[in-house]
Amino acid sequence: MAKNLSTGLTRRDLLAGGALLAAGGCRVSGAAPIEGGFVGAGHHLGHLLREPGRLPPPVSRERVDVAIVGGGVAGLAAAWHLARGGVRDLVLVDLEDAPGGNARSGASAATGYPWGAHYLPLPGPVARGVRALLRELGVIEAFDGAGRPRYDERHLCHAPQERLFIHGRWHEGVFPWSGATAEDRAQHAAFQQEMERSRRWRDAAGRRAFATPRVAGAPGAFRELDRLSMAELLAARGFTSPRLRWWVEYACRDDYGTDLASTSAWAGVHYYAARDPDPEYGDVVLTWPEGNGWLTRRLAEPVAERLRLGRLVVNVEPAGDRLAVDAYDPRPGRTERLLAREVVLACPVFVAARLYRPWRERPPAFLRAFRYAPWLVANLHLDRRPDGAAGAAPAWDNVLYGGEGLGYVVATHQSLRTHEGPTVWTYYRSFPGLDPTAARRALLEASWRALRDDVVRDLARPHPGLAREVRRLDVMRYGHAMVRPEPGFVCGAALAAAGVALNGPVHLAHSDLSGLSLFEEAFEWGSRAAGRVLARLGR
Amino acid sequence: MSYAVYATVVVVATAGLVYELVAAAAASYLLGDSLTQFSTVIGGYLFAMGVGSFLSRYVQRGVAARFVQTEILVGLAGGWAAALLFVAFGHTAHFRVILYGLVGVVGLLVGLEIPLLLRLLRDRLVFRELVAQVLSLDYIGALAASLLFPLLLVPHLGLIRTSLLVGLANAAVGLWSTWIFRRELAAPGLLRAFAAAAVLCLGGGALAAERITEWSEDRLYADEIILARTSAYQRIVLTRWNDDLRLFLNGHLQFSSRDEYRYHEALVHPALASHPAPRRVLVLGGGDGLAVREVLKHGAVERVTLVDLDPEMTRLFSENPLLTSVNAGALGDARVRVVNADAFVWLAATRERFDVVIADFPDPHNFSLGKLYSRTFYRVLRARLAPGGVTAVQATSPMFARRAFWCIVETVRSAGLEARPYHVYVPSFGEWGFVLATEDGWQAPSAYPPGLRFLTVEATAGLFVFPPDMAPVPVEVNRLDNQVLVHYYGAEWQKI
Repeated sequence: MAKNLSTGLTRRDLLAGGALLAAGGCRVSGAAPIEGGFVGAGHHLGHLLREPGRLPPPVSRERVDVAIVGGGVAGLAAAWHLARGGVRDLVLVDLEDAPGGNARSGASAATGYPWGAHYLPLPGPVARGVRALLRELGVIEAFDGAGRPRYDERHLCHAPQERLFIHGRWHEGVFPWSGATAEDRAQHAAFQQEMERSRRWRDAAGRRAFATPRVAGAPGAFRELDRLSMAELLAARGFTSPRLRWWVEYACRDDYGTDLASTSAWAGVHYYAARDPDPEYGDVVLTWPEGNGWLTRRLAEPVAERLRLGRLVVNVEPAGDRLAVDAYDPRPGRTERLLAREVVLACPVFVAARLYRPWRERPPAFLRAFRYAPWLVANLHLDRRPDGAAGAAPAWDNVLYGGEGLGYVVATHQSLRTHEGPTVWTYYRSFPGLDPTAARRALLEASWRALRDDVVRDLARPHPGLAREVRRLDVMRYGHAMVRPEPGFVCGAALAAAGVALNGPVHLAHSDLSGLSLFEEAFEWGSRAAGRVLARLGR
Repeated sequence: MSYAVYATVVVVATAGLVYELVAAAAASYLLGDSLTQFSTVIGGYLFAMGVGSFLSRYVQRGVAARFVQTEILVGLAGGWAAALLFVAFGHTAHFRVILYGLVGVVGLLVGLEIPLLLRLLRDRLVFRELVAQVLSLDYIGALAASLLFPLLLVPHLGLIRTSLLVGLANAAVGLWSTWIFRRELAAPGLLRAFAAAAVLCLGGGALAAERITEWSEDRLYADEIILARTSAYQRIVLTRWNDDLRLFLNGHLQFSSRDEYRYHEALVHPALASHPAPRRVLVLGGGDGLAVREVLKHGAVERVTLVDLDPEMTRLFSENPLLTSVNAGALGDARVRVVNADAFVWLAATRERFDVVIADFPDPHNFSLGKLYSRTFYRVLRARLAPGGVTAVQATSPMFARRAFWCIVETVRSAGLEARPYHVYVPSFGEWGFVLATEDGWQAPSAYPPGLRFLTVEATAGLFVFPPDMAPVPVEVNRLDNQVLVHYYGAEWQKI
């Protein structure tokens, strides 16, 4: 039986000692040291590519119809479509021990948790491929008479979705309303209106200017935005509010790993203008405890037997009427050669340029335009939710105003349990700025201990007792997490050239080719490559 | 000046600042908004100190005796301040009056200390030296307090014990001052006895701080507590006043044994009695076994599955004689199977189907509980209903939380079920609402099992009639991604 009739205070732990003094903001932090370490083989193995000559020559040969290099979303999407198109004889090679790329995930006794991408916005009508995938996976239960999807609500991000820590308190939503002046509010409204106009814009053929995936849009004159940085666009339109600028920059850091000065204004506007709120569900996103790892695991299922993991592809070159794909397996220390009729290079452009022999010997001109943002992802294993600052209730995405990182998402947020037990928090930090190379070097040289302390320090502002509750803290470093949508790049000649550089039997498929590291873009390029391969194989 | 006098000044100064911090911290804990609490408490305290300093001029003779008395009083008032504030918060609606009254009294007494001490010591030193030494020690004490308080005292001792131990130090100063200033005192023996009594009172308090903490919590309940347990999931408290047993979970009243039959008869029988053959029954929540007791009154019932998260709860209500007398030993019945699991997760995983499902969850006062009233939950529940199945859902008060109630009704409907809302009057709760839901159609029962105290076939139709003050209001459907119900519920109960 039920009910309310509360008698008030029961927080005896506050009185009983051992309780923190949130009021004064002071606290001793010297708890037992937090265990953990680095996760992911990525850059150690990957850096062998710098000296491919030192690796042993191939000792075995295997003929396949299709070889896919890279098991991220693009590679998995290609494999998924090829498997459905009847291609049985395919192999997918990835250097990590699990497929998924940036959408990999982990699992503890308590919950699955993401190691990277952790949500998918509701796909609009133009994202046909992603909608079909979600229907297939049961995330979309059905389409109504008007063709609008009805979602299995378990996969929609549960409320409360977001909160922001500012001025010592949590507030609902991510815009820093606390302490905002009338001017801040007016600028926020004006900015929203301008984004709304870009969102609603259609050309004569009824195509939107900004779309996800990109190829569904017709940017027209909006291309000119790419000449400016987002910082320049905001300045030119009189958007000077520090709160508004922080909020827009947060979006750039979060989606692109870049700051206002290093984000193309086209990409900055794309973030706000490329998707319509769903008429029923609004701006909510799809998410799972393990983030987009939920999607990549399902994408990988049909080709589970065809995965070659923990192997580094070091060379792709024409070999007679086939293509040689040499994969180095560090455990036995040997190289295997696949002889494929078709090859999908589902890897970042800078990697493709190192392993595709013609490009290695004569680097394509577009290569230099591709620059990458480093990222850090940390997973904090907690026995229970630590106490924290007052204000808005714990949300899925918890953002710190003025924090070094982007905040944290809670893996158990989507749990249907009434009782909150142990959980995992995933902390994200991008390294925006004009010099990603220096940031990358600093990130790869820093010790785990130093990075751990950085993460705990950042999160201890809203959660002073955090260090006591963390049982383990693992860190994943992405040297080249995502392509940076810098000014002049996203609508520039280099990107366009890369997109059409290979037409088979080698195909390039990666979100790099959109200039935006998004699930929908990767899925689109993977699907297209699969379509071309199927056509060339006559299926 | 002797070391004893130096020590006296430092203790007096440290203690004075700690009281101020204790009051401000307690006010922040209890009232929130730490900026306001710290600011007003410190301001009020400093002003009261000023008043105390001013009043010191009216102390003419017997300065030493006044000083010792002040120390004893400061020790007692300041020492018990934290405990008093926490008890007062649960006990009175005038918490702020007590807070600022206490701040005023302690501040005033602390304001007396230094002027009196200066006058006591003026014959022992040149005035220039005296002022310099006493004031510098005063500020050193303040620094010590401001560092010790957040870093050492509160984290390790808690507020109540910190406050008592500092009070003890003040009383101890009073006690040793009867030796230091024995020549200036007319009746050192009597003062010494008072000081010693204060030391004992505060020392005893400090030793019993744990119990005081528990006691201050127990004062929140009006009646005698006969059982209190902290399980892995909740605080279970049982109170008794004459023949009235009341169960509280985390401070929320769950039932009063005087009128719970109204609630449980209304929750269970309209659903069960309307089913031609309710063989398999599922009860979600309701670890007290009271709904199960009602279910077992139906002869057709072959198997009752009770799913409740907390094993401590179901164990207590299976074993404790007082509690099994309330639920008639329902949980020990051979037809009953107790499952300790999270209801939503269990329901989504089970393959079983049930003729009747009773959802008796705590009110949706947080986002975790709100999920148990979501469209997704009712869809999952619907899939577990056997053909012709009926479900009954406790749905908070249509009177006090009108939008929350109708939100639950609409949410049940949105899951594709036919919903029939009804309500009863339960004196200890007020008007209480339920939702009866079926896949297709519902026939009011033509007979109830014997032995009911409240429900009759004739009165049943009336339960489904809502007077204008509880009539439907426009509401949104409660979905996992909006959790509007928790917002409705929070806003409505806050107004009461």
